[in-house]
Amino acid sequence: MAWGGGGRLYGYTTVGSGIEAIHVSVGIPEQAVHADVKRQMARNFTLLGLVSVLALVGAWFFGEILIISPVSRLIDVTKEKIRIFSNAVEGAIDGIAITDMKGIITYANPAMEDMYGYNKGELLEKSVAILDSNPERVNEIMSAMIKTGSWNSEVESIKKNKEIFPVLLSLSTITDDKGNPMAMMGAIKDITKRKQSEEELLKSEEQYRSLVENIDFGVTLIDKDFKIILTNAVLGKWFNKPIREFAGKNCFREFEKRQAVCPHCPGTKAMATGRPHQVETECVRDDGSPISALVHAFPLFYPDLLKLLKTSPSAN
Amino acid sequence: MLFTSLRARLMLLVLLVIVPVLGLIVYHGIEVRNKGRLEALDKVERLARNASMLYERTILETRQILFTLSQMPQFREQDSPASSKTFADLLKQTKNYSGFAAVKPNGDVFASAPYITKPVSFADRPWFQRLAQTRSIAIGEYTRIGRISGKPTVVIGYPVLDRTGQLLTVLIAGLDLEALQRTLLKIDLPDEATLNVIDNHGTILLRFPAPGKFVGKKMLDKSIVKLMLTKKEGAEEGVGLGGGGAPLRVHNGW
Repeated sequence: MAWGGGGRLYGYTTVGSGIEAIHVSVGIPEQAVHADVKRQMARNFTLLGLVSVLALVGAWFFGEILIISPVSRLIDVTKEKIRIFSNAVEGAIDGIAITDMKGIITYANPAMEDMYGYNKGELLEKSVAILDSNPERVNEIMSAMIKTGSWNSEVESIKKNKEIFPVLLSLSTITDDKGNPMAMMGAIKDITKRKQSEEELLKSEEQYRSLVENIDFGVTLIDKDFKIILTNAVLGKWFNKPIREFAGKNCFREFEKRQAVCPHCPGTKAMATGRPHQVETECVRDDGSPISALVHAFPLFYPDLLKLLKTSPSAN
Repeated sequence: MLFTSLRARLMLLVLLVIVPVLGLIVYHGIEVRNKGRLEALDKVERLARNASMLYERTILETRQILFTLSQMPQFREQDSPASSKTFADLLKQTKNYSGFAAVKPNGDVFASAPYITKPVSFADRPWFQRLAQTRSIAIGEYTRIGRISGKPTVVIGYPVLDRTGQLLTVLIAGLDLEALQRTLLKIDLPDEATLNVIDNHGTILLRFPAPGKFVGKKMLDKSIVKLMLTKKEGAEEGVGLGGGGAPLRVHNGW
């Protein structure tokens, strides 16, 4: 079917019948029939062309103002944020890893790789179970983490060379816009040195305690508020009472039965000067009997030791 | 990649919006075109019917005239001068006729307008033989030079019978084809339209425009002529008489 056609449209009819019949036909060129349609189509195409050009020009210019510039700015800001975040994560001292919900590692920062002794990219696509000294525990940890949204604990990890070391593991879920968990992020801190320090400190404290307990002097540890932290057994023996009853009480009440700090308190002077101080004084037992004593006060500048001693079971 | 930039994607989006609109315009154009085509086919068929009605009316008027004449005694009695005078008066008052004649049962003309002096006979004409046989009105074939008028004509013969049914006289009216064409063109043909009237032998009796090129010619080889002769009535798409012999495309649903 040619558009516009080269033929004609004929209507015909017959008058009469038989040999005397005559036949009448009227024909019009198909092109004339479709001329209006062609004109209309041409007009529509022209209009569409104009609208298209206007739309494209409008999209070009207004798109720049309304969409492209704001989006470009947003992209730049986002890129910058990603760059900062990426640098922070990449340069973090602690290990940071991201896994999918099945525990397959999709990202591990350099610190993480160094910590576990893997090469760059070697951890990717591997299960987090290879990092735990007890792989069976991984599923439990993940279940607990998914249930609560986060999980923190000290665990024992295993390096590529099979060396087991302690880490502080903090896990959290990464959710999508609707709050559905889509990935897990773990921050791993190698606490090997801290553990070693703690062990050394405990050992030191044990030595100290042994010294304090075995020496033939009464020894007490008093904080800056004149509260007794601990006393040794000798002191308990002198005052005829269990040493646990001294803890938390004011030294001036327990040792001299005073209502306020002793005027001759060597501890006050030792803490004020930072130097040892000694006085001779007369202490009083609960039954009122006196004890003559030479009191030496030594200032301590190690707050962690105090803290440790306060929390240590042996302090009781 | 071609559409990686935001701007290019925006342009693509605009184009994607434009494409369906383009499709709609084309679809609408095709719909309008098809509708216009069907309406045009309907229109040409209606025009052809109108033209044929005008032709039928002309035949009917002619029949009435001939019937009226048949009641006049000069024709029954073959009074040549009186008959010729009546014909002459009638010819002056009508525009659709090239001439009138009254013929004896043997085919000899005894009165006519325009008046002729030499003897003329219609006995050899097939239409006259049919009329003589059937005793009923007969329409003749296209004649390029009428025997009475000398013009292209189609004659209509009317039998005048006595009480016993014997043929007394044959009255003849020659249709002026140019006048007939003017009558048929009252259907108000659209611009560039054509009107064809053909007889049952495929001879073009009337043609508008350019009658001189077609009238009187047998065009049985033309597809439109074949269709008119075989299907009698309808509307089709085809190629004009002067446009070669491409096959017609028949449209159903009419």
